[in-house]
Amino acid sequence: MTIDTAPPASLSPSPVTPSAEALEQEHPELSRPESRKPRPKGARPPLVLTPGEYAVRGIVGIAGALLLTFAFNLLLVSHLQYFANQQQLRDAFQSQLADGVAPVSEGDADDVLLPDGAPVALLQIPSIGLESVVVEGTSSATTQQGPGHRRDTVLPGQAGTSVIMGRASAFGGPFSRIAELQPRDTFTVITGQGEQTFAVIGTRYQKDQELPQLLPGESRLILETSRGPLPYTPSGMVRVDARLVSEVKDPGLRQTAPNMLPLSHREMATDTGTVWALVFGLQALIALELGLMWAVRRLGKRQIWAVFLPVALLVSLIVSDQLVRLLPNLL
Amino acid sequence: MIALLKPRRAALPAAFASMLGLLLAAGIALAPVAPAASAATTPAPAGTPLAGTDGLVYMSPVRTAVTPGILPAGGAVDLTVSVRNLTKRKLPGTVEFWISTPWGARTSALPVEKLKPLAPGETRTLTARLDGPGQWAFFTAHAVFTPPAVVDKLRTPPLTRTEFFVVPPFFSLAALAVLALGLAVLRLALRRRRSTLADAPATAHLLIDEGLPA
Repeated sequence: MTIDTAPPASLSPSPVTPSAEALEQEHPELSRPESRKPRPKGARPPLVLTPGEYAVRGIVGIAGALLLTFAFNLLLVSHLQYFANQQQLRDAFQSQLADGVAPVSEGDADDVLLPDGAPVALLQIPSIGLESVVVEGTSSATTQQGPGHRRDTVLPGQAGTSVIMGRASAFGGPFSRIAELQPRDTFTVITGQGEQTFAVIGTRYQKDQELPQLLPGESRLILETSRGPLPYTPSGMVRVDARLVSEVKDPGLRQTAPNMLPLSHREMATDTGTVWALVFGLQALIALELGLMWAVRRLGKRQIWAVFLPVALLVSLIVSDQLVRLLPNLL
Repeated sequence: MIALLKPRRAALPAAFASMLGLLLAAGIALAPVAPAASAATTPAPAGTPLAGTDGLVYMSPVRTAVTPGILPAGGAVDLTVSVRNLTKRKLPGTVEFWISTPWGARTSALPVEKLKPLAPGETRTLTARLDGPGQWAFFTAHAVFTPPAVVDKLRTPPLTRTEFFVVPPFFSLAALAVLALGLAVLRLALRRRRSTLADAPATAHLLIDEGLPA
């Protein structure tokens, strides 16, 4: 028995046929397929997601878009809304003053109860750069338009105590500087009964002593807003008390008594009156997510972006608007 | 009336104490510490006639004026409040000022000071200077005016005012800048040393090659 120690013919390099290594060295583009080309440094392999991963990515994306539109709405759009609303309210109130039909009670010239958001006064405090139309009602949706007059109190300048509540940060933050008012500072409020002048008595916080009852024929105005360490972080309330120093006007008829005031119109209250719209908006977001899941396997990425992005932004804005209403009315 | 009050400062954190120790060891002289706090009153002019229903005592929100310092425990903050007596009699009371970190620890405080009674209708401005807020950057100023428990047969709770403010921590920022600069210089030096070491064998080979006969 002999053992052949010579290497097999297939493994031994042939002196005639050039080896694979030699061919690679001479024509590298022929010897190596495209798929085996080394990737450039830092390039990642193509990402292939499972349907579950697509769903998670879609949910996270929509939640992120919702958060962004919420912040965008609160920090930018709310201020634009305030200024646009104030322009319309100013025009309407000036027209009512010119026609002599501006409200002097809780009803309008036709004795119909004023709706939330109806203009009732023009508040002017030049020392802090404030000039704002006051609207009837103090719910979160109403104070988005401007400072709100609490329904269960008389109008400014009338005998009794009048309360105006305004936002400190969002929607123009008209009352952001009222705590800077000093005792004996004066300001004016124009109502359907003329111009009323008030002198500041002082500033109160939540836990301070309540004011005593007014004597007949006296008039007081209380400006209320939120306060906190930073903007948009309310931790309490601040009140500025002012006493009427001009002629006291007759109080108008009030339909709303203090015990009838809705909870959503009280200090730091939220407005849950349109939660149904929030529910519909969230349902629309879920439907959008399902549609995205269906379309991601059938359409290209560009088509998905073109179809779903505008719809997602619109629905996110609607939902964030409803979320903003759930924030305190003095924020 | 100007009243100088004795300082009462909370214990410095260990980190600041060590930093102070390092500074002293390095021979850096600390500036003499000014009186930690003072309270000044400014009599207000006669106000509008009292209505009797305007309340009893008012206190303005506390205002802050920061004077930052470069030393670890340097700088100061002035706290100002106005107290208004709307009663028809003299109103005694006490006032207390302090500043705290976001976690509630007092960094600088004044002892409770008894005020000269406020005349009817008087508005008095109280200013307190608190030294050495430290390097915490974010602070809350506190001012409490405590009138008698009962005034004109009415309960009068203490009036508390708080305000958030920021003191730029210049010492910490400067220390961070020096540290970052030192790290950058160290990194550059290490890189140069590595490149020098990498070039050294090639030079040796070159010298050996040049030394060999053709």
